[in-house]
Amino acid sequence: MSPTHDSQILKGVLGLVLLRLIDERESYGYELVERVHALGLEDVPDGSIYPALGRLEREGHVTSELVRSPNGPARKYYRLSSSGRELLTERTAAWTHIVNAVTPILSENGNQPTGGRS
Amino acid sequence: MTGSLEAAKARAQIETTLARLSWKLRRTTSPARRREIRRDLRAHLLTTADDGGSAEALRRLGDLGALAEDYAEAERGRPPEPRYRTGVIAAIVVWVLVVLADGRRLLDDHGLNVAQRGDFDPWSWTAGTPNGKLDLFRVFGDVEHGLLFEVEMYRLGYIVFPLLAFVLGSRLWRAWRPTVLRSRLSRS
Repeated sequence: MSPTHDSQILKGVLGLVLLRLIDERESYGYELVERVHALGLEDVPDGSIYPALGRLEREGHVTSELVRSPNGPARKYYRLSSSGRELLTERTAAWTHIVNAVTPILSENGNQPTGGRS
Repeated sequence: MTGSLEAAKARAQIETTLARLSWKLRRTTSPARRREIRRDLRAHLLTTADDGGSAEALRRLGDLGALAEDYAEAERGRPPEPRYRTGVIAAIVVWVLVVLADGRRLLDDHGLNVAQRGDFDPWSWTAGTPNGKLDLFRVFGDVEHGLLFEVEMYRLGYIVFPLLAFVLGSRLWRAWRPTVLRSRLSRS
């Protein structure tokens, strides 16, 4: 059974995940949703991907282009801009730093809650 | 027949959901951006519905209230963009008004008491460029002959007034805000 993800943690990290996925290859919204779910983050609602993409686009970190699709509605492809690439580097470093700092604390007790004072 | 009915029902469900989301965003998001959001989500929902049906697509979209909050949060700080469509509509309306006003006797009253008209009859006033070389329009009247007020539009007026309406209606000056320019340059 896959663990349920905290929505606040996911919200914080979603931008970074999207930047990374778009950096790998240009993608459209539906494809990005599928790719996020394929990472094991199945409980990320489809809808939450789009506001995150909108924010990245507004801040100039990704650019988009509408491309006609032979089967279905036009697809909006997202591409990383140079500032997006810089942001990805910065956020990756920040995320790695947090994970490195937090992981030892969590693993001290075998990842189990201590249950308070005895 | 049943298939097309099902498809129509699914489409209606999707459109209703999009309309509800758009309504929730009406205070925080511009109409142009709301149209864009609806277009993005419609494309997504239709693609998802092809795989698992519209009910599943809408379930996967998540809670509409939370989605509206996400959008509102993501939109915060977005500089307002020009509203070109409104500008075009304003320009067309003004152009029609100019056509209607041109040569029309707006206040034509034959029963006017001409005895009180004073010494200014007939009168006229022309608006144009400061150097007097180009005229926009002229208003004039001749009370003695039962004409209180008439408008005559010159060729320049047909261009300037709709153009002005477009600029005002579209808030064209927003296009030159540094933040909008920057985001547009980064897109290109």
